[in-house]
Amino acid sequence: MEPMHEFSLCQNLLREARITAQAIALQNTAVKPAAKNTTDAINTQSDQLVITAITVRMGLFSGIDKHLLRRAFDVAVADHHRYWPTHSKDHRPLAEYCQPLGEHASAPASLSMQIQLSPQAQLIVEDAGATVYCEQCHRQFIVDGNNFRRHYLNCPHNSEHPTRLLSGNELLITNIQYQLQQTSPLPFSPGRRDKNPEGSSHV
Amino acid sequence: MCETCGCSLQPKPQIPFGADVQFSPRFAEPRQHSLEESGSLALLRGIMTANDQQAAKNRVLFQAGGTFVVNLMSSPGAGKTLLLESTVRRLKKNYRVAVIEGDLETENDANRIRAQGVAAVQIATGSACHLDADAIARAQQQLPKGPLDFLFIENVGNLVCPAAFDLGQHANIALLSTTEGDDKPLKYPVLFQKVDGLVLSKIELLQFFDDFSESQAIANFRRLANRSPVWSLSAKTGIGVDNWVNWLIDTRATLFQLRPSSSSPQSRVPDGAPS
Repeated sequence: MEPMHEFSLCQNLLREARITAQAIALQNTAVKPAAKNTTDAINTQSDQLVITAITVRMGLFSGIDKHLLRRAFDVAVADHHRYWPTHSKDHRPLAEYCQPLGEHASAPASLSMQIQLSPQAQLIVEDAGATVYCEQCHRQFIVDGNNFRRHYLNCPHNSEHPTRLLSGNELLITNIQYQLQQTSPLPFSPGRRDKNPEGSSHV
Repeated sequence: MCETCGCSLQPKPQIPFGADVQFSPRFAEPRQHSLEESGSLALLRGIMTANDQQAAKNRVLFQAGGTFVVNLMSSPGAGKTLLLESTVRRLKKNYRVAVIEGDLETENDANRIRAQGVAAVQIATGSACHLDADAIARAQQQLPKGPLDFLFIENVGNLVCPAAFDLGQHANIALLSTTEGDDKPLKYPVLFQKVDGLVLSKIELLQFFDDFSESQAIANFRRLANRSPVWSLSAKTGIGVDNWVNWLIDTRATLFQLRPSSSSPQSRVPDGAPS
């Protein structure tokens, strides 16, 4: 439980992104040795996958403010790096989450690739709006912020018609951009450069 | 001399490069990024997956125990605890009831419920503005062992954040008190859109307020494409509480496929019974 709703959401977002990237990386490494020479296969011990951008699809009724989410994301990325060596021990190893994903899920945990998060990771937000179905007109309508202010979730033709919300509360990661890098011979030490890079962290 | 800007440090002697100096890269073979090494993954994954998985576990647990779980949400002071007190008073004769209370601080609400002779667990969230599925799973372990018929979760008084977190409940109920104003459903649409029922509380105050219209509140609620039941009640005087309690009993019976007659005939509160 975190004090702030958007911030705890961003922490969830980073965790889910890393879990998914780990699962995909496991799948790829399991496929590669069969397709290519084993020497060509990525050496997962020395490689790391760096997430550079995350795309999120947000429905109108997800209850999340886009601008707050952006601000909270920057804070969450900084927070992630600040506690990076310690917080990963609090959670289950990422490979454990990846078991149900894909047919190569039986890959040994030693294959797990290091998933890192770029300090300049970007958040891209897609607004998805909401969809409403009118049971009298038998049609569905797309509701965006402007429409909602005009006639809420009513049927735009007649506000007396009974309607149903079809979609609009989704909150999904739709894309992850990444780079594969060889682990640097120098250990990555994020360090505390200053006490509070954001100024006031009240988001 | 200061150590902040580095003005106390001695500058390194600057030696000009001669024409014959050969530069070499720091790493023997710099690795070039090929197309294969950077890319993007198109996927669909819910951000709330961790919470939703825990909520699903909670729901399985509650379902197996035959417990009907109700999540009560409202702004602070809308009358959640008073409604629970009068609901528990009516249910406790025939059903096993327990309550989980969420507040930032104090045990006050749990103590009020315990005074009714019913088990209550208080979650002090500290500074968190909502309950999540993990908090419910932990609180659930503190409840007395044995089957339960009804579990009420009183969420933190907040009309914004609790809407985003699935707890494993069977029904989300919102309270709107007459002192808050009838436009609140439109002001906080996310929460009021997803509730399975709306309680208009403190209607005994309507004779003193002329700026709250019951029909307007319901109309605003319907504008959010929500056709769930609405109960107007006064937990203090007992007006309308029986309709609400009967809905709880009937919904639980439908959910667990109990025939109404399988529970004792006195289990339903007769309409108009004194509180």
